[in-house]
Amino acid sequence: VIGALVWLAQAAVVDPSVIARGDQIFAQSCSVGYCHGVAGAASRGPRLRGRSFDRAYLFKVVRDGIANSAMPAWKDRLSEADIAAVVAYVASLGAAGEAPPTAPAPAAVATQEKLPAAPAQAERGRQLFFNASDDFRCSACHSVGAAGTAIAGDLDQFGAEPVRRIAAAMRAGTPTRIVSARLKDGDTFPALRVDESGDFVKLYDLSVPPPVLRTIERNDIQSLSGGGSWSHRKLAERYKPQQLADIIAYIRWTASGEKSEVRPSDLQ
Amino acid sequence: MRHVLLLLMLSCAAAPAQHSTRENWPYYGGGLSAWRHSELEQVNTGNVRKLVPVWAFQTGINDGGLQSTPIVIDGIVYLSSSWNRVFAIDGATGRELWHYFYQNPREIGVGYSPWNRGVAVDGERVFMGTLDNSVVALDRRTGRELWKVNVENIRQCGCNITGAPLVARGKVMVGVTGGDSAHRGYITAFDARTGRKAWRFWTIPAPGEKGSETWDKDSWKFGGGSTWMTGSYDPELNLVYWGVGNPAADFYGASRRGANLYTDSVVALDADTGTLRWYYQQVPHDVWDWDTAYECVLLDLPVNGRIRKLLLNVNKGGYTFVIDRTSGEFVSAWPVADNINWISGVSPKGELLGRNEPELGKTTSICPCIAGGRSWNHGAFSPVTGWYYSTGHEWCQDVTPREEEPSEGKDFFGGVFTLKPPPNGKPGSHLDAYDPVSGKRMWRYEAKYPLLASILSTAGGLVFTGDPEGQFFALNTRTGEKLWSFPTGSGHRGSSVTYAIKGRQYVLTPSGWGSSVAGLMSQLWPETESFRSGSSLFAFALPEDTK
Repeated sequence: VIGALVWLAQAAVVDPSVIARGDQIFAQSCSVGYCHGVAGAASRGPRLRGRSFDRAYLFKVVRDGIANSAMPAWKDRLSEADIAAVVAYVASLGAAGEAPPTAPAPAAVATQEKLPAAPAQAERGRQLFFNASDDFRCSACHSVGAAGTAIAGDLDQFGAEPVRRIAAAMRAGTPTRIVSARLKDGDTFPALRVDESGDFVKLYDLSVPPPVLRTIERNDIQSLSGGGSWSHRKLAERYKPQQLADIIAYIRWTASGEKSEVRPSDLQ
Repeated sequence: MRHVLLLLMLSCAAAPAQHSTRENWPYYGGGLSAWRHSELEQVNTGNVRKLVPVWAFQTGINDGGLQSTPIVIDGIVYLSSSWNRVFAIDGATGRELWHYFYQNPREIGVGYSPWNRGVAVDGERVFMGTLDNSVVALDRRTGRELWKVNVENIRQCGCNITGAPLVARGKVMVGVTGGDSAHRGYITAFDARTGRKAWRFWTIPAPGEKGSETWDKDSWKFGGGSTWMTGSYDPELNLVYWGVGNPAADFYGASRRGANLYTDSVVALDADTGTLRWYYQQVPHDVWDWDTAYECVLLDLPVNGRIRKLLLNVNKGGYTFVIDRTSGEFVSAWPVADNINWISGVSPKGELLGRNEPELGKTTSICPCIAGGRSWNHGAFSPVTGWYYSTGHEWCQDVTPREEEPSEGKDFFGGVFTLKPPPNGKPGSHLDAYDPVSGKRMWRYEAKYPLLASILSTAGGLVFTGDPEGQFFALNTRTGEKLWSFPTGSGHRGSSVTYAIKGRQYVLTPSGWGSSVAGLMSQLWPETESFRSGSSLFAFALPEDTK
């Protein structure tokens, strides 16, 4: 299918409706902000009008982005057909030379999302999991579905677990990787072990979120011991049972596509 | 080693550098008051023509140019470059002492990259914000990483850190980009020793908090209010001053009716707790992308015969606001650009007059353009002349707003723009000297292309800056006469500084063309598309026998 679409974009004569579609997507996604400017007139991103590009190259760049640059990959946000339309539109700018931009921007923008919408409960859970205004949000330490921060593990593996198992893990006390660190200067903090192989010990300091990756000289450490006061249960207790059920529904839906509702009573 | 450490600490303690600098350039803005003025006068109007380069240093990474302010302490230069490289350099010889290359993810995917505008140095540590929205602390002697904390996930927030941190009271304070994304801005303070979060000030109040009534429905969640530059600090008042950027979506305001506090405001925060003491909003309900994010210059000057503690801040709309920094009371406002049409003026009480708002579905000519009546690159204040030096730009844009729904962390501009020349003249730029309170202009230096480098003032009667074609030059502070110029080979977007080692004064400038605004310029000046990028430091001094 990809080959066919590239071929479509490569074709010398492209259906004007494809270019129009590409124009619309370009206006919504590529000319915004400090990116490529209206009709590719240049900004932070390079000028696109009045230049010629290899269309297969353009397709790859739009789809996959450019590593080590501000150019993002659009494959998660645009369908292959839409990417091909953008490529056709950008190619059409090559003939436009330095002419002034033509099409005014559309008056309204429809959000381009090709991912299926989450069930209502999973969506509520997603908002809790990633709540940017909550310092203790799950995503400060965990990733799921390739989003979030995986310092304390990715949760995709939990996706297929029974609801009760997930709930039990959330309400567990202190995982073994978490210790109480005491430094020779008296500083004491709950720590997530990362690397203790060299002269320097790497630990996440969990005193207050967000976690801090500290690199400490081995000689400065008094002790790393089990126990301590840190508890995952305290984090779970911040939520009402319905909210916990929502978060579990989100993890299951994201990790394994499971859509069934999770009730608070399922958590027991 | 212990003795060296002790000496380093003593010399830091002995030079608080609240306003002007001398041997060191300890803070982003020179002193804590962001004057960017040095008391050094070995290089002066009488001998500046003899200035020669004594060393150059290449960062090796040209992408995004070099937009940094070097920090200099005890003869050592601490420089950050694009992609979060940090270098410690011998200020007399240009020899590298250590380097630290931060490991960024391969895909940044947000437009606020890849530049970095500077590190902060405090005691034994060097601090930097990163492209993937983390803060790192390094050992000042070796460059070894001591701690690292991710402030917010870049893939979720579409935001990161490009501004230099501010350190005061043992806390590292950092802002955040994201003002043109669906994001809620903040300033975060971390304990300098451990990296633990000390406080956060949200630039947009949550429902129930004071000021939340200035936001429609859920618009507060994604209302912008970034803090992408660096604040100032007044040790006597223990207040941190920080400029807050535009509300999002930039050009479309119908879904965020209200004043949209604390966007386009200067906020005064208690340095220990982050508590808001007062704010002054320059542009209520901004629909032009007029950040109030630039430097806060702290000045003690007479107003109607009485010395007052003032704060001067130039915004992107081209207006300078002078306020009382103890209370936030309005004092005066004056423009730095000739072509301003988004308002007809500012009332004696500070209210905007004759707002010219772009309308949905229509194209409106707005001056200045989105790149600013002045860009972020900083002005300078000279206590010798009593004048403030700032650049100003003459350029306009056609703006077409459009309705837009926010999607967390994604671009949230609410419209598009195309640069245009001013209606009655050529686009261009100038560097001017002003009375800081009245805004009376003392002289003007005209330039062909927008001057996008910061200004350095010295007691030698000189202001230094550079231009997009690569000339680094010195003007007479009293007349604006150009006294000296040197081609560094690539355009200027960073901030020059000056320092002294063993009695010899050095003038140090970044050279390296790049950035969003550099790219935008080609819409008006097509030839600038081929201006050469670069990323180097040039150090100048008088020949040894000139003193």
